[in-house]
Amino acid sequence: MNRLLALVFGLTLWTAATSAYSEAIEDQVVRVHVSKKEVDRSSPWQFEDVTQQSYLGVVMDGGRILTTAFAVADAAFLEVQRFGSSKRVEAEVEFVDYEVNLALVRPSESLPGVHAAALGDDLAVDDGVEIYRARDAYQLSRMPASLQEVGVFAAVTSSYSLASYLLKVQQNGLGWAEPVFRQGKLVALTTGQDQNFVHALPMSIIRHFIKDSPGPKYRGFPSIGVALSSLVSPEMRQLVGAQGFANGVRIGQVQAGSSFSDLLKVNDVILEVDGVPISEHGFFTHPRWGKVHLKYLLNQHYAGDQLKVKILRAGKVLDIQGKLDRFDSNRTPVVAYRHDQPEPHLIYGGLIFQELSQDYLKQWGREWRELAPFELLYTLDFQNEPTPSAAERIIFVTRVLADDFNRGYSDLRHQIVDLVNGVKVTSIASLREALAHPVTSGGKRYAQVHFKRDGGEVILAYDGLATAHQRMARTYEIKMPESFFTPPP
Amino acid sequence: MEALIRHLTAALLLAFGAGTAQAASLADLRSSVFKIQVTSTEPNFTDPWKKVPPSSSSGTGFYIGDGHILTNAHVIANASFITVLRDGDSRPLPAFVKFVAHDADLAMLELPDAKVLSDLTPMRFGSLPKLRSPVATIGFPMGGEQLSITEGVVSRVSYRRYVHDGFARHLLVQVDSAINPGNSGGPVVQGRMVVGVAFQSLTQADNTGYIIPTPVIKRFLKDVEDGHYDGHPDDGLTTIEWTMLNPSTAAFHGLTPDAGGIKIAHVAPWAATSPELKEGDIILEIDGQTVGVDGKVNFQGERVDFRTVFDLKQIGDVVLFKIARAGVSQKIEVKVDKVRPHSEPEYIYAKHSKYLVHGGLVFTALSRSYLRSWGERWYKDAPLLLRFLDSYSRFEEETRDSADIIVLAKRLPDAVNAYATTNLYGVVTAVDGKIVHSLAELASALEDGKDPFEVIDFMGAPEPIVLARDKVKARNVAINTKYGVIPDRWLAGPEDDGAIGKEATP
Repeated sequence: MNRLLALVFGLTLWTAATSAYSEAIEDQVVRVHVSKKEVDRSSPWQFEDVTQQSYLGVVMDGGRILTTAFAVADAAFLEVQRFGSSKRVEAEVEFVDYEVNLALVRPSESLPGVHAAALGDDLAVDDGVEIYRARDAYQLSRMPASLQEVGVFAAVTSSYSLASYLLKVQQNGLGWAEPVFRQGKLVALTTGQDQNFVHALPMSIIRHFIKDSPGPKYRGFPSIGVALSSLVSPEMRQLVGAQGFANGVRIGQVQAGSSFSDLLKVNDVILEVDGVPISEHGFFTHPRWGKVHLKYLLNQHYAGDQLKVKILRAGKVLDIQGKLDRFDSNRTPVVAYRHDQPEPHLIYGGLIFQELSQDYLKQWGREWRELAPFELLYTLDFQNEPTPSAAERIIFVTRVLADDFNRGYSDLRHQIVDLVNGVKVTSIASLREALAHPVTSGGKRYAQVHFKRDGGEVILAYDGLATAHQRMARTYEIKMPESFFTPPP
Repeated sequence: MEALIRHLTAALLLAFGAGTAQAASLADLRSSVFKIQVTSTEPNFTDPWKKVPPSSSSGTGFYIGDGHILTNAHVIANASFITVLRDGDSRPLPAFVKFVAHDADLAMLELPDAKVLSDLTPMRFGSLPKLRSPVATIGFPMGGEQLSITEGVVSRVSYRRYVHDGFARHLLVQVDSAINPGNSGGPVVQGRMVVGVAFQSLTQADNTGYIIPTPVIKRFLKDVEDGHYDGHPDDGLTTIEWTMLNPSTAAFHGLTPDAGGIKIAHVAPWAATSPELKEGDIILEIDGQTVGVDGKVNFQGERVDFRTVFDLKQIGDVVLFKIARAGVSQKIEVKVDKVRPHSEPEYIYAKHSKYLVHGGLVFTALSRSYLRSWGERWYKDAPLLLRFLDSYSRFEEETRDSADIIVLAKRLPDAVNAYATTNLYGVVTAVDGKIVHSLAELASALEDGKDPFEVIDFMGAPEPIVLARDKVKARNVAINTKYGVIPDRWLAGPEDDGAIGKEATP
């Protein structure tokens, strides 16, 4: 008991001593309440149960609130609330970039008493910071932390690689868009926690996002579309003609249709990017952060910028310059994310067709990489190279709404579609088009769906389709008529 | 999914079923039943040049004449020493494997001195037992030195996976009496006739045993008549049941809804059925037997998978299919031939797993045995690519023509491979740009290549492994000596069984 009292006393003293900062920061940080409505991936005509979550946001110039994209993803309703006020003000997402996990929220009316946070600079390793989290509706509590290192990771909401702080902390339960301050200035925004490390987006990334003009003129973050592989093996170095060079990283893959696909080749060695020397592992030396992956050099550019790359090709040094394209996670066949978007799907005779997505696979829970059907996981890991044209999706039959019409096929599950009526389908739209051109046999019209690998095919008539669909809509309570394929007149 | 276990694993005592009328009538057959004691040395699948420490197990076998004893393949798999002990005798006699059929879990043993068996009555084989008919299982369940006889009733006849092989399916009969470790290989009798060999059971259910029925046993005995075991044919067909139940599907194929039949989804290019049968064909009959929409045919009074008919053929036999193709029904003869080389996800009972150690890199062939080195939960814990190819290698363009799925299993560190740390558990596709289909092709591509570098490509990997050819050549012997890799390769084929045969005796 005595010990507990002592602890409470100690805490009170500590809070009192630091209240000067906290009060000011409570005027710069607001609570963001989000009601989320996610699509039910296995029954895409309906939604999951609505959930309520609370995050934090930082007040920016013009009264906008900066928070993470993760916070506002799939939001059906948004409110902001300033500390010390019981009033919740309705808000809307003004701009969101899921690639870098950042969003700006605009309250429907101005919040009295709040003011914009001062923006700081990038930290140096070992810098001390404070992470603020909501203690209650009135106060923030302050957690001391320090910058351990800077890594490059895929964003929580996309597959874009960007620099992230690893802040060493003692507490759990952080990473919900808490602001990070140093000497009264905003220096980072948290995006997740991994044991004793909180991940946070550095100011240079945040500044890039808010300085870009959120809206239709937004340029976004670029990539060059190559996969790098370390060049440590002396044999490989000789093979690519780099034996005379101490540094440089090998290009292992060039994605078709990417920014530099015409300029770079497999086995080229990247020596410099923007004049900065690149190591055999693809790192450069950042003045404050130490060794950082060259992808951070791309994070600092805007899509549309020119990028200078010095490469070695077959023993010859070449200077290459090209225009950077905006990175798009969803150029891969397997959809990386579909926040806020309906799930494209189509039902033909009870067969539910969908586009394979990581969201679908994540239905298997935390262990989805072990538990999801491995034919689908294989597609994700080994057959997911971006195609030169716009995204070509993997169409698959997720399951079948059992009905007399599809008798004999009701056990079908997770079959990847190859051809429909003899045509390769690469989207729900192209599936609809292919279904509109039925095959005929004995003067009657049929849909012929052919699967990859061992799946065989499904053949279902056009005749009776409308009646069957009406019956299924009733039985399975599917309230979206557009879920069903309708044959053209 | 139910899990069938390989016997000889758990110790379980069984009450002796003695004193029944049937047991009494079997008195003179008792001396034809043997307890088989085995010391086995299994290959090590992660360090394939090694063996795991020897272990002992026991099973049952029975005399079938000509100095031969029939038992299960799993009883004698990888046996380095075998003895047989007659019921009522006290003197174990050494025995050797004459023929082994791992796919059908059957083996024939012989004794060096057949004269000791001359007074025995060979057991004779009956037909497929009828549903609900009583059977008696004779054997030596573990812990018992005396013969045990358990009675049961035939509860199901089906075409299912044989656990010992891990992949092959054959006809089997389910009985409602327990088959316990040690029973394996024992005769299952009706009256005085053998109707099956006890071999596996369900782990999840009590009192459910499986026996290898006589059609499979007789096929084995006929197969080995020429002095060589060829094995069950593999039809290479992937079919989807029930689709012909759908009236519009039947109409599309020009058939009536009651025509039955089963549609082919895939024909493996290495199978004897290719190219005669094609994807999209509907099999209506096999050898004159009507195939239902469930893929089943009438077989000696029971409804079983149509594959049973094909599966029981010998090499050289002919199977007559009646199919519907493009709305026209036609008859197609398929001559049963040996399958062309390809990879199957089965267990390996060879002396060693196939492997090649080159420049300290250990390459092996994907098999169910290798995957099991990831433990009981291998189907979750093994690398995704290997789990995928275990099921789908026959359908993938990159692997369907491969005799071996070549896996980089290990690196034995040395200066020549110091930087070859990538692609562990990767699947090799090519060497110096040339596709390799087997470990033998891998060996010659690596060893006969002329380029200064060996470039080894892996499936779906951006980074090849590159080794300096002359350095590898110079270091190979030293590396293998350092790590005790003797021999540096094992590329032997199907003749290389791990169990002791007579030719192995001094």
